[in-house]
Amino acid sequence: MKFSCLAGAMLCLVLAACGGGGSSASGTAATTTLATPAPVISISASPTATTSGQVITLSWSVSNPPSSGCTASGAWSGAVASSGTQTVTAGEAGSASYTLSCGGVSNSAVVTVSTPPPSPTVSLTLAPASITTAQTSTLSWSSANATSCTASGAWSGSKATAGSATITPTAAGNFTYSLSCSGDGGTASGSAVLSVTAALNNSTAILVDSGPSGVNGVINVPYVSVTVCRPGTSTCQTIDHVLLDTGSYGLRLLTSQLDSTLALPAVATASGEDAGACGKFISGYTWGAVRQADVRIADEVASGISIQVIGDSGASYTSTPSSCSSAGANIGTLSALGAKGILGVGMFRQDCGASCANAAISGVYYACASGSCAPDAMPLARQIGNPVAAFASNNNGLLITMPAVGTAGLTSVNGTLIFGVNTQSNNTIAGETLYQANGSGDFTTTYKGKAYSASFIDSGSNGYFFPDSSIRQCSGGDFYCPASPLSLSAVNTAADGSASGTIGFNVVNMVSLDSTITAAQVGGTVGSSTSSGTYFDWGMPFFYGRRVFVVLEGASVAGKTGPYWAY
Amino acid sequence: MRRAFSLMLFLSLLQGALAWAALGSAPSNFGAATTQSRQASRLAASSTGTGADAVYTVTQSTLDSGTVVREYSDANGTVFAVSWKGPTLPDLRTLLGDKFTAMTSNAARRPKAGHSQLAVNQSDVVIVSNGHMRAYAGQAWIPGALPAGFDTGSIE
Repeated sequence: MKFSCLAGAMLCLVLAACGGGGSSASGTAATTTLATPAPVISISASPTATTSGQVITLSWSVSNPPSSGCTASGAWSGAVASSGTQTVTAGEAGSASYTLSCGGVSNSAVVTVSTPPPSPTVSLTLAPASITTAQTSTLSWSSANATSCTASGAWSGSKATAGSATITPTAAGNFTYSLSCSGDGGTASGSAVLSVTAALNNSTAILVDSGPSGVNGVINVPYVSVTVCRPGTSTCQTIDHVLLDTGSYGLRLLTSQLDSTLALPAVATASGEDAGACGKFISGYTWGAVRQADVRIADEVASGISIQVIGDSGASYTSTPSSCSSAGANIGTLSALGAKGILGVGMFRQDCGASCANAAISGVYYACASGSCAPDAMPLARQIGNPVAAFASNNNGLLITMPAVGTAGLTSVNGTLIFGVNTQSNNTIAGETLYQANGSGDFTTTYKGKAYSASFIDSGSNGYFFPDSSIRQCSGGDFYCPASPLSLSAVNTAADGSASGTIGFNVVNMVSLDSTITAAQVGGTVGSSTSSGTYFDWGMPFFYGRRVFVVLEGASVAGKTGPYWAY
Repeated sequence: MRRAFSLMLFLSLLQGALAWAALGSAPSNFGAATTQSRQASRLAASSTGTGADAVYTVTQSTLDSGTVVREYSDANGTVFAVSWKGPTLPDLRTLLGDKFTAMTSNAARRPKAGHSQLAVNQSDVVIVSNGHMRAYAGQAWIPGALPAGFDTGSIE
């Protein structure tokens, strides 16, 4: 039996027993119930319009209920009492009739059921989810079926239904970013947890001064402090006034500056003998042992790397091989070196590389026993290594920042050595230009119309060294002594041609500087005016007033693979 | 001054002891200190266009590190110039002969010494050494021994 309801949302009440009485069934019933009043059914639903899955309350009462009771049908079922209330759950969309039949009389409550609005969803992601206090993370969120979102937890306020934000932590800890988004279909919540650990201190001071006690006449020498420890122990020593050198690779320390209690273990060559090493610099050589140490600068640690102990007194290393001393003067003393050691942090990872691993190259690594040394091969991992490359983090390069030094020079300068490039907020390449270096660690400098294809930036060179026969040399040679400060310029070009830029620089009279000056814009000759040199050496004065990045060979930073400089 | 070179190229592969010349001397022998094979080219060059002929021989050796050493010797076989370029420094004591001490003594008396450049400019020898670890280059010559018309700017 179907009922047609004029207003679908309204209760439809039909009194079948009194409704015209034209049917044969009613006629039959009427003849048998003359003495008994027909049931009168009253049923209502609340609400009369709802959505699928929502609760509907049915209320009904029956006057003159028959002894046979009442039966539910339609959208509900079963025997029911003659009066009561019951909750039901709205089914699929459409018109739902809740019919109550009592002794041949029926009545229904009709509820219009529509499809519910979809439920909102929300998701949050943190990339990365684990950072240090010196890093940032990106919080991204999105939602569906939502019209508004509210943040809580580690953030707050009204948010768009989708978006992203950069999270800059101010402290270590775990931070929960929660978001609750609401729409017609309800409310959804989500959260993401950011783990923040205390940042490593990745920077240390650079000092340009008059050098350690026992050293005279240094100029433009950048010094740092380095801590060395017997591997895996807390037996350590901090050495000050170690020369910071972007033109060499690996740590070399004078044995005269090391506590004997350090007792750094010897490192063996490929053949298993005690390894001796010869550091060759343009101004001379350093001879000594290869020993293993944990090297710590700031919070960065290079564990168990090979370093050179210059002038090591071990019995294996007592005599300097002639193929080492053939590099020139012995600079392995405090006065000759002007420093207690050399921290080589240039663009390469070892001081020699693959050629020394493959063969016994004369003049680099030696197998030593009882003071007799012979060239030997040295596996890469045991070569004297750039400590930066061995750090657990911030190991792709470094940044050197120095204040400007005018033509009058300064008696001391403080700068900063920062490890890592684009790894923390304090070592990000910003406006600097990337200058690719070639496999030798060089690029091209064009000066006064001539291109020098093997040019480089070297904090271990204490001036600008370049050929220019028009500049007066100081008596004794080497340095330039112009009558008044010169303003010069040159163009540097990346080895891959991807960038070039002009550098303006000054050269002042070396000799007329006050004796207390330790940082100055000085330069010197690179050789005879009649030689065909290919080098323009951008020494320490280049670093003054600049941020200079060094990116190690093989490291990819800012879309470019090292070796490269950025400044 | 530019000149045209007429080159005669001889390639030979030397195994074992390599003959390296010492500056100012007849070619010398490194003996057992180096045992790797090396390639040597010999070039005879003459200048033209100025009327003065410069005849000399260039011996090129490639060390197993990759460093290239060139020695320039005159018609009598005396080395008057040498050069080197590559990732390791060659044995300068052997290469410079008795001029090696000019380099060491000069380095010792330099004021405000640097660590990456070395220039000796004396009447008896000119030595230029520069570069950095893993990329060394240098030249040396005896000014009084240069063949007539030889341009030191042509030393590679």
